[in-house]
Amino acid sequence: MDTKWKGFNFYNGLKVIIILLMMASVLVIIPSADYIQYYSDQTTDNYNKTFQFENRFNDLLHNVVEYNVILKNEEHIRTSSTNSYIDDEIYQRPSDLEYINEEINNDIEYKLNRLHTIEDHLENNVNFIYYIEDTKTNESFTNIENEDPVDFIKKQDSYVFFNQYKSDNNSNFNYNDDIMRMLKGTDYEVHGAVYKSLRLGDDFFIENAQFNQYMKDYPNIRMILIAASILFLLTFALIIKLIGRDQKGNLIDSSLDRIYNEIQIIFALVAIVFTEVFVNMFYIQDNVSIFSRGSISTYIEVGIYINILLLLLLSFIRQYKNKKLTKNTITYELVKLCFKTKYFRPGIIIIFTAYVFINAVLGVILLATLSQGTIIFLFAFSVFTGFNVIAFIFLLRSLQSLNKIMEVTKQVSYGNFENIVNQDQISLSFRDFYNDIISIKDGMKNAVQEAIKGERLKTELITNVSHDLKTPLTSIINYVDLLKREKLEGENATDYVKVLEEKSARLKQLIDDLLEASKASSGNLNVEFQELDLNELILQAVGECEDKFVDANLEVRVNTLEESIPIFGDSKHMWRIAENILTNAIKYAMPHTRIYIDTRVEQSYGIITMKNVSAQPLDISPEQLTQRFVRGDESRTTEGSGLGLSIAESLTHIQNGKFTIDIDGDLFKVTVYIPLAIEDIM
Amino acid sequence: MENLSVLICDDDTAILDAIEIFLVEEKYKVYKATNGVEALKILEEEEIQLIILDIMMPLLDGLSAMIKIRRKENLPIILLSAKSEDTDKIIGLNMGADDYVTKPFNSLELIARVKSQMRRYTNFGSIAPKPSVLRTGGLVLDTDAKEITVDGDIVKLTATEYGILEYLMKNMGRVFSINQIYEQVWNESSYAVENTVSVHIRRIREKIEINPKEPEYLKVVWGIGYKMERI
Repeated sequence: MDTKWKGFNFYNGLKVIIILLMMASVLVIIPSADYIQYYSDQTTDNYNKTFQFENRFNDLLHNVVEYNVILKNEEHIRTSSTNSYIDDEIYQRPSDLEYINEEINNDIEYKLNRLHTIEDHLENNVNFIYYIEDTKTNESFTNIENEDPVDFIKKQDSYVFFNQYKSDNNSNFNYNDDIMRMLKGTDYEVHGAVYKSLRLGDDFFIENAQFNQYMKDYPNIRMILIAASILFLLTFALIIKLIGRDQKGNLIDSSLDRIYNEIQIIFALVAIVFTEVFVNMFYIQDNVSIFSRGSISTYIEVGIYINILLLLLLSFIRQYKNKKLTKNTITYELVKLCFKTKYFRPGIIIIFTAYVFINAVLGVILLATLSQGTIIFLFAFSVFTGFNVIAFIFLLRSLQSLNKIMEVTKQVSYGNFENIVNQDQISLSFRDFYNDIISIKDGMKNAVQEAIKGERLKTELITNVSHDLKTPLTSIINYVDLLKREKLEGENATDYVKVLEEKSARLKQLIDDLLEASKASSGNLNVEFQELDLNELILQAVGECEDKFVDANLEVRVNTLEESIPIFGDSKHMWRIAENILTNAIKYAMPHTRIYIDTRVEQSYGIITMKNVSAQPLDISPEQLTQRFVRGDESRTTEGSGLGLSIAESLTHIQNGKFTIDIDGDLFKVTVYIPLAIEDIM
Repeated sequence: MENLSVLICDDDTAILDAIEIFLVEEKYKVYKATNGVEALKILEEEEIQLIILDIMMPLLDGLSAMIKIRRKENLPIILLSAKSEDTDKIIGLNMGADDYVTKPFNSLELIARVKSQMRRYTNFGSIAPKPSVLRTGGLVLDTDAKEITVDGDIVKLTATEYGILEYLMKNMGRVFSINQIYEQVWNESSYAVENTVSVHIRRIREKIEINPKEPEYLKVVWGIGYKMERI
């Protein structure tokens, strides 16, 4: 934070100063440049040779000629105007008289105006002198009192002479031709000049004084202009270099740049308009401007415009350095918005826009042809309809592609990885999407295959290990058997052999169960589906285990449906399920309690439920009970492998059934759902 | 009658020795071989009445040895294997074995199967059939004497058990449901028969079968019913 603060203090401060200097130089350049420019096209240092002088002189001379030769006085105006019209034979018809009168009056009015204007103009002059003489009548007009006015005028440097044939002057008078036209057909001779030494009292004097002042100031102003221009160029170059970077030359953002460029431009325009209004409000009429060309207000106004535009330019330069000049625009944002959907082909948006646009155009054409006759309207209507039908067909095709993709996705979700549509059948806009789905499918397929392979390897391993365990176990069992027949010494020897016999039998059972559990859970078992009667199965199973129930002091209550329950399952697997849940009850049910076995039908399932009261408290979740090697008694002292329920569950699953266990206190309940074999009848 | 000879063939000598002891107790003369090649050699040299053959053995495995034996000999062969799957048993029996015992086996069961095969092989081929006699494998039911023998040994059954067995043997190979058996044997309608029939059938199996869990004659078709196997 500290360095940043320092950076702000010195470096940013420096930049602000540079910018302020640049803006100030602009404010100086504008009036001084205007000043310099005003006489910049002059080659003379004499006021009498300037265009300003000549224009003024020329103007006055033209006025004098017009006054004395054309207008003369009011009476002359009235008669000459009327005569000029009356002489004209075209206007002799009575109907035109009114119009002609009006024209004459207008003409007279105009000429009287001119007369007075010129009179005023000439009155304000003290330095302009002239002498006009009609050589025929010797009538003359002049504004000087001298014995020989012509000679006096000729002595002036600025002397000019006109008659109807020639003009004699040493300058390019703008009104030369005009004056010559007025003199045409007359015998007037015009002599005009301006006093060599000007007298106080008119614009010639003021302008001369200003010109002399200007000539005096010119070198200084020029110096100021050059200095200001150099300052401007330097500061401008420097700020262009510095802007957008920090002390170390890293690119930095200005918070100003977060404003969209269009808005910046609008701000600038608003600022310019505001300046205009503001400056007009406080307009200062002043005499600082030497030739009344501009006022301080105007200069400030222009200066502010230029400075606003400069600041805008700096903002653009900064953004250009940060490479976000084009990005920081509303236009860019809008375009980006259109193309933002990265995975959607941009073409879609263009097509959609084009569709809307074409439709709008066609719609307008359609409306326009409403009044153009039936045939043209029908033609436009068919074009309009045809275009929309084609667009609709394209839309339908896209939707079909989407539908196909959805279908494939559904198949994949069901685990069917083979029924795949060729990608050529998918419309271009969805093809990437489709290929992504196919990638997911391939990934899933591989994962499933790997899992199946892994499970198969596991089963194979368990099978092989089981076979290898069985051979030594055969010997153990047989030699234990032989030991039993021997007369053994020692009072406990017989008991020990008995333990050996029991445990080796247990080991055999474990190996068999393990083998079966691994096969059942990996789905590596053949399932031969056939129609079976669930009631028959339960009665058979209970009959098989009847002696064991009696041994365990358990009473069995079988509650079967009266009609048979046809299920669709594998005969042997169903027996294993029944045997395992009954064996489970025999092992874990509390002696002298009842075991309830029910069969029933629910929806599309035939159901077996078996309920018993557990001898041990069941501190275990139903889910855990179907895991391999989990038993209700944590001590594992009771007979059993802990695989019975796991095997029953797996076998139920491979027959498309459901296997649930519920525990309510000591009440243990197993429910087996097997699909009914009557589905096709229903 | 001189002692019958049994050839035992297994690569595990501990098992060989144990089986030898059991068989010698039953007065059989025992030859031992540790692989298929050895077994074939002994079979050529000696007169053998029965072979107990392990499947997984070095040099020549049990199944290959059995195929060679079956080309010239008709003697009973009991396969002995750690492979306990149904498919293994079916393959073994289809290739010419008379019986299939899985390891680890119960010595009593093995001896019972040996005796059964031996008696069938040596005695019963010659008995002339009477019309009143129903027979399948070693199981014989004489409807006149109401007497049942398994491999020549008389089996005692209760009246109901006999009724069930006779009904099933008269309709050999056919599957009957509990209700059908009940209606036929008890002569009553089968309302709420519960598990009476299945308990009786289990008991019959325990009396006539060497291994009641893997019955040879009275088979359970789970979820459908019971049948007497025609052998």
